[in-house]
Amino acid sequence: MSEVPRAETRAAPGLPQTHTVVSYDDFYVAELPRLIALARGLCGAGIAEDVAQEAMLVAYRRWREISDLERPDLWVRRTCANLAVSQFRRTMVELRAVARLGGRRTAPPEPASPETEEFWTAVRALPRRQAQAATLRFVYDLPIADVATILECTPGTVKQHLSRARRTLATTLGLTMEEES
Amino acid sequence: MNLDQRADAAARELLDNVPDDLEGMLGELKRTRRRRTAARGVAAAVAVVAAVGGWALVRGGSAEPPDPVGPVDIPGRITYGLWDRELGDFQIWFAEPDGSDHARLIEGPSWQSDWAPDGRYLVYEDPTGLAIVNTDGPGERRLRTDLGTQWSPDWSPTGDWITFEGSRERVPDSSDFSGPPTSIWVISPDGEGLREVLPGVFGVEPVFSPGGDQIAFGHVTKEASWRWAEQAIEVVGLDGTGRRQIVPPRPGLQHVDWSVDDWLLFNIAIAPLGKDGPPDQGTIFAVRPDGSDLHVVRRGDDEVAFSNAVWSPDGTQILAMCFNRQRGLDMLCRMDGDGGDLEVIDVDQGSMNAAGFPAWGGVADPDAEE
Repeated sequence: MSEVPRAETRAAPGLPQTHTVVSYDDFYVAELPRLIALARGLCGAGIAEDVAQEAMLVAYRRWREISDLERPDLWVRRTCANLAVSQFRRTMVELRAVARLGGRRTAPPEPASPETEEFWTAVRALPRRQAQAATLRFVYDLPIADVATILECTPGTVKQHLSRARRTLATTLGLTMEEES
Repeated sequence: MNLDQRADAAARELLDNVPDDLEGMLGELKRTRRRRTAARGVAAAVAVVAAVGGWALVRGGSAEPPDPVGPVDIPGRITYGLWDRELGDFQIWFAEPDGSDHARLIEGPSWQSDWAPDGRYLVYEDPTGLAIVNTDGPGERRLRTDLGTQWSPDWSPTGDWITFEGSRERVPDSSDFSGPPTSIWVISPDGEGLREVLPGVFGVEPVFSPGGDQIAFGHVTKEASWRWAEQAIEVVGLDGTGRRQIVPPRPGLQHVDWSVDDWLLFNIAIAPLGKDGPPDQGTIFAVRPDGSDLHVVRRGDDEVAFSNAVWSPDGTQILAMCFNRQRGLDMLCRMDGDGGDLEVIDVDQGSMNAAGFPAWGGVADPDAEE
């Protein structure tokens, strides 16, 4: 099982800006937009903000520990990706659990275009690990190794998830595809 | 356009449409953290008071001392899902009906469950389908059905069958309904005899009659979000015959349960925080299986709303989710069969984590073979 790496050398060369962040506030501002996009891809617009906020809230509560990781960004993306595919179903208890953050939003998010909605609906219909791998890849353009760290599996498993996800999506959406490199 | 171009465009549109008030959202997050910390303190204090006083029940969340109650004599045990913040999902716990002797039963995401009539086994749902676990010791096995979706299991009172809502294809995990409809299935606890009871009928949340020869279920007549889908309550024989409507369809009708003395419970869904709902949202109703005697058991109000009600094994009491609007928290409540004498069950141990997916059973059969 892949661990989120600890920070032996902070601010490693070539890593995105978030790795050098030491303040939670900076981390939040840098990470939240894509986190919302990740959640929106995985669970829809209605609750994406709440899911992303909940993930950031967990990070806030454990910031002393999380900030000590070399890649706190991978940690919070894992938390968000797991929250977003939990069973948001008819009992909806979890929705109200995360909605305890609510009350802030005054207007619902803009609806996505039909083409985009069709695409993410197809992603959400994938088995959950395939959906997570594909959304992380599409939203963040992450290398396989980072997706593997987030999903706590091997790079080979990620490749398998992505390959199957891409085949299914191409078939569902009637698209051609190039092989995942 | 190929897949990668389409994916790029779809991702870009999501990224172009994220809120720009990040500072405001950060402020809200910190206020939420303070509120939860304060609320945990109150809940913990109440729990300590209750423990010192020897009270088995805690009226949840109130800063006032709970009413003292004597030892409770209620049959069976309860199971429920308790939100685990680190896991980001629910795990099944079990406890005495007053909330005492609670322990986690399933490690990992797990949701709806139901007891075998002998009180020794539990069938439950998790991300890969249905499984049966021995509640008194080691031993777990999966019910393999080759179906893409298997939800809401219910064990027949005769012990012979488990009914559930299922679909050959996987239904996506989504707050809005999308994907193939589910229907009502049965399977024997040994994994044999898988059968679709009503092919082509969009059925959800089946439960057995006391005799085990009929199944009540929600018939989805108009798709919407899961919460506001239009459902009717119907009954059908185990063999798929004799289907009839008990309660006509309406939005938000959900979660039927059937008592040992022939009452059906159901509730009207609860709107999310900040959203309007029907006047009777969060209200529990009861009706006879022939559609007669429809009445309110317990009305939801501005303080608390109810859902997912289930009967005690003897049909005298009700266990339900109760949404505390002030705390913004889903809890478990127990009440008399007529809706009176409401008590909050302390299952979250002051953690401010949501509880749901209640089930009540576990009455050991003294004649059961070891």
